[in-house]
Amino acid sequence: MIGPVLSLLKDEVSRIWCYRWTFVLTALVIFCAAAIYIAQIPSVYQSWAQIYVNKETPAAAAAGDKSLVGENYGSTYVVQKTMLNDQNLAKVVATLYPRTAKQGGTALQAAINNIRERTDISPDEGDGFISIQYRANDAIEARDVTQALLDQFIASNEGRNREGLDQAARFLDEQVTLYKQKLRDADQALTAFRQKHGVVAEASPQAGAASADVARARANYEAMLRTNGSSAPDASEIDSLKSKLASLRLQYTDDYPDVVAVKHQLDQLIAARNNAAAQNSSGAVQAARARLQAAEGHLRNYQPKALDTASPLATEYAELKQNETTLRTSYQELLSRRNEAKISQAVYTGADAGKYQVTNRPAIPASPIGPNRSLYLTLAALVAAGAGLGAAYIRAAIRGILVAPREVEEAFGLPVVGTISWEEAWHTTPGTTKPSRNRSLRGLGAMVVIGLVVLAAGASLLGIEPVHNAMTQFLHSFS
Amino acid sequence: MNQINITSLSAHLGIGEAEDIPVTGEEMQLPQTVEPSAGGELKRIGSVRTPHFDESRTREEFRVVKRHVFSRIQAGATEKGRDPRTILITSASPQEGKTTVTLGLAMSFMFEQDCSVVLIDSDMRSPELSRRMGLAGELGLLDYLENDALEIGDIVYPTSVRGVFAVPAGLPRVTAPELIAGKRMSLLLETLHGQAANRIVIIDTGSVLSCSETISLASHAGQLLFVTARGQTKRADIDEGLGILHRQAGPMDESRVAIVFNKTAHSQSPVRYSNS
Repeated sequence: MIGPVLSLLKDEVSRIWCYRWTFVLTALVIFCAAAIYIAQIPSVYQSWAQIYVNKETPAAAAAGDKSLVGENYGSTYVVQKTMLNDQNLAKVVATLYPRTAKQGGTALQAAINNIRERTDISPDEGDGFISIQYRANDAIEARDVTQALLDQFIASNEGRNREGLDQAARFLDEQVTLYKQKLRDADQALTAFRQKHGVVAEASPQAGAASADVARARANYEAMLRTNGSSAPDASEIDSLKSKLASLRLQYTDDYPDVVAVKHQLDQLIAARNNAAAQNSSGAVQAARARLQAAEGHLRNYQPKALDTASPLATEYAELKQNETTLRTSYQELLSRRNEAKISQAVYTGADAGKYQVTNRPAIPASPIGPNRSLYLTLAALVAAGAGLGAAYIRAAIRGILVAPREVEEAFGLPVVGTISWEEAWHTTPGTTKPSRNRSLRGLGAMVVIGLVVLAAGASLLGIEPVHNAMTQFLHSFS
Repeated sequence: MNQINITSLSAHLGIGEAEDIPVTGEEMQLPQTVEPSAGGELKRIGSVRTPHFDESRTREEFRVVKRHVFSRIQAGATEKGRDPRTILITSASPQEGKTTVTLGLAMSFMFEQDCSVVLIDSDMRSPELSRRMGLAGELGLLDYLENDALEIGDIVYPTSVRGVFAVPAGLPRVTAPELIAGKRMSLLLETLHGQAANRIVIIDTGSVLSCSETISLASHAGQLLFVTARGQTKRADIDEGLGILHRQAGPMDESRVAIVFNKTAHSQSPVRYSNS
């Protein structure tokens, strides 16, 4: 089974071998053409830069949760979208290719798209590291574009942060001013209402001052009593009750049970003291008592007057108070947010914020990343060899040559009675003294030339610089 | 008896002593050796160079062919007028090794003790055999066929190989095909065979597709050795050549035609020969 197959295979190989020069020339032409094409494929250089996005600087930590910057800050997606948007890339084009930028329109857009296609942004090893890669046919261009992308990204982000935070701060200032005015208006309305309807503010400054007068008058009066040796009730006890009563009145009306109780208790103590004071009829003591009574009477003017809760006045008063409370709350919040904005401005726009750190600056790549000329040459050699084999086989098939006695017998039905081996000595070209040697020399010379060409092409494509330069100059001489 | 002018040895040939051989009419005795005769015109002797022939694969390969030839001779003539001792060597196209095979086959006969060979160069377009043997320009076949005054002995030349004689092509003529197709050619062959039963005539002719003399000669030949070259001869050419011969020179079957496959690789040789 295998024998006949091997025999057939051997015959076919012999047939191809009869046209080995066809194989060699075909393969050589195809390989050289492919090698020239491969040599002219422009090299691709890749420049690489790395940035570190510091999401948690000490300043940011100090700001705590008061920063206005969002959680997506520094993600690879955000970096990619911001770095490769049209605005940034247009600035990069303007920096590196001013002529194209001046043309504008489709030329500018094409340049932008070209940069976008050649740029890769991906997360790198380690938390917060982002790698930026740019491919170009020129090593210096690759470095320059990468650097320009990097610079533009950092500048635009700092500018954006500053601008955004400034906008936020301005907005908040406006709101604070607005609400401050609204709050002032609400206070004025409430005060006017109280004045009009005798409603004392729960914590008005006038009530506070009146309370202070009462306290001083009482202290004087009690001092007078002590001087006169009256066995009046303890003044401190009376003061304590009065203070308690005042405090209760600030919160409740006079009908409130606690207020009624304290008032009753106080009245009793005062009555007891007055009885004691009646026995002390000195003028100083009376004068002091009179001043005390006057102060107490003045204080009563600022005590909240109980309003009928069902009356429209009560409703209006409640609305005014609610409005004032709401405005005050909003105002406090706005003040807080404005503080946060100021903190953010300090954190994210300062020169030493450190939020984007360039950990690896782009350098001029020393060697291209592509094309893989070794692989291409190998494939070209294989294809060329295959094409050579095919050409030789086709030529042998077209000519219908015979390579084995078996073929002759099968083809013509005649016996092959002998085979005469080829001997160089039988070469019969007349007039040549040593034909075999000349032919061998010619063949050897051709092989040497072919070998040198192949070696030169291979060395050039594999990057051996002197050969590559020579080959490049040779090829350029035809262009 | 008429004596023909036969050549004698020149000093540098050194094959042996020549002697005058009387020749009568149709019966011509071929000189086995020649020697210079006083005052006589020297006749050239063809030389044959076969490098590495004494001990070589080629010798054995030609012996294989020779054995086939002998077997056909022993089998006898298949058709009247076609002596199996007349062997025509031809091919489909030029440069396929006809002359080489002719010489080689002739040389293979030199070891035969009781056999002689006459080589006839009938390739008028490329008389390679005559050139190789150094007999170019000498009186030869065409001269004999045209000139009735010439005798066979005038065109037969001994060679440096014992038992091998040569008939060069002669001066070229436009009428060569017609001369070869004439009766004098038949007479020549008959005379050559008539002298000795062990005389073999090997005719080196042109390729079938390039000259017409081959067809004429094929009519006389009892055996045809069709030379094909490995990796060179086209199948279509062989087919056409055999077809022409078959149509014009009689049936070309295996009893009359055999193929010699020339220029093969050593691995294809039936001879397993070591050069050690």
